[in-house]
This record gives sequence, structure tokens and C-alpha cells, in this order.
Amino acid sequence: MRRALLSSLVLGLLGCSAVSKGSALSAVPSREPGMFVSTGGAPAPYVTLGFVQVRGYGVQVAGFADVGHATLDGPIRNALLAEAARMGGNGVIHVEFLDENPSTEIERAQAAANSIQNLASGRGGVEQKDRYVTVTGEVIRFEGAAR
Amino acid sequence: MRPLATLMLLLSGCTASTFTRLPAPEASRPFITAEGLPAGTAYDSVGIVQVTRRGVLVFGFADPAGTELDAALADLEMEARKAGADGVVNARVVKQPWTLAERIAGAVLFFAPFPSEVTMTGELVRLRRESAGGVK
Repeated sequence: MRRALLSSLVLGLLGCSAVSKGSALSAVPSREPGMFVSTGGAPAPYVTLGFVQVRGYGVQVAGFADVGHATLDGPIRNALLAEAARMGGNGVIHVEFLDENPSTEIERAQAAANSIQNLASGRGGVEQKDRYVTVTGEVIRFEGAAR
Repeated sequence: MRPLATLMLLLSGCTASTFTRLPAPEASRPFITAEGLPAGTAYDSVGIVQVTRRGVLVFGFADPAGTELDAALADLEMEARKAGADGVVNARVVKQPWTLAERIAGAVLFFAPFPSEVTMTGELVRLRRESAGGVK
């Protein structure tokens, strides 16, 4: 107990940063056909069809293996675009995203070390952490063929 | 004790603010903006990115882990450089600042450091050569 408290304090004092990355969205003007996706506005006249929010859930196992859809790409490439297509849209603009609880490098290393220690001692199992990513956007349909 | 706490709150108010100044624009430095690019600017998306810094506030004020806005801004700029982007557009900040009263309470309760976290998100972009001159 004391060791856990001490290590938490040390981690807090040291601090650390976590970086979450996702793949490229659409270029302006768009280079390829298909769904237009941007964190900004639309480059051509459009009609707003509605708004969509998706929340990806995943589990981080032993600090390093990510299982599920708690990445930035997962909810955008899968659920968000699928919902937009279902609404009849051909674009999602003003996309906002938030990886709600990313792990810093130190936290990942600590989870991995704890998992190894637990397995080696036969007490407890592999550490798991629930992960969530939320993405919202405005679903649009371009007027005419202009993009 | 209670009147003292009330007085502390009244003196400090209940508003917490935090800010960071952007460095002066330089040609070699990625730009960071909370807006999109001006209409008609051609660009390629390089990707989306989120940087998060997490630590604790010691004695209510000391921030050894660097969880203020300027640290997140520096991280975001570094990610833009690493990705070869010209800048970051539609940048957003998520941070829960502590009020002065809470920080004073943190100084009194020094044995219980406050958690502190800052997050910045944005889209990394590379300007197409034909429009690069008009934006920076």
C-alpha cells in the first residue's frame, strides 16, 4: 500500500506526456472521391443533415496492448463515417475528438511492470485499463458535385 | 475557521483562469490556430494529434510535471515538426484550472497533491506550395 502511494506520488511529480495520433483527414481541395472529413469547415456549399457523436471503447492490456476501438482512427474511420453514410451524407466537418484517458509512457511502463510482477508472484493478473475516445462531427451533403 | 475560509473565497473569487502566449511568428516555426485556414487555401492533412500532460500540483502552486498550457503547446509544436507539418489548425484545449482558493487549500493540505492535466488536440496540415505564401 505504502509502495503504491509512493510510486503514484513519484509519477505525479515526474509527470509525463501522452501523444495520441490519427491518420490524415481530407485534403482541400479534396484529392480523392468518397467521404470528406475535416476538423474545419467545408470548402464548398453544403446542406447540414445532422450531428453525430461516437464513443469508442477499448481496453489497454499490461500497459501496451490496445484492444478495441479506443484509438483516434477507430471511431472516425468506422462508426463516424458509417453513421454519416447512413444519414445520406458525403462529408463530416467540424470533427472534434478527445482521447479521454491516454496513458503516459511512465504509466504504461508501470502497468507492464505490475503485470509482470503479478504474474511472477502468482497474485493478481495482468493490469487492464478501460479506454475511451469520443468523436463528434457535423454531417453534411455537398450541393451538386462541388467539393 | 469557517469565517476564514469564507473570507478566503470572497477575496479570491471563484474564477480560475489560465493562459499562454503564442511565440512570435517565425517562418521556421509551425503555426498553431484554433481556427481553420482561410477560404481558398489549399492544404493536405497530415493527421490528427492529441497531446496530454499529466502530473500533480504540489503545495497548490508548484507544477513540477509541467501541466500548464505552454507545456502542451510546446508538445503540440514538437509533434507538428516531427510530422513535417506546416502547422496545426482547429486546435482545442481541455484543462480544468484550479481556483486560487483551491490552490491555497492545496498549500495547506500539502500532503495531498492535486491532480493536474492539460490536453490539446488539433489537425496537422501541410500547405500546398501554391498557397503557402498567403497564410503565414
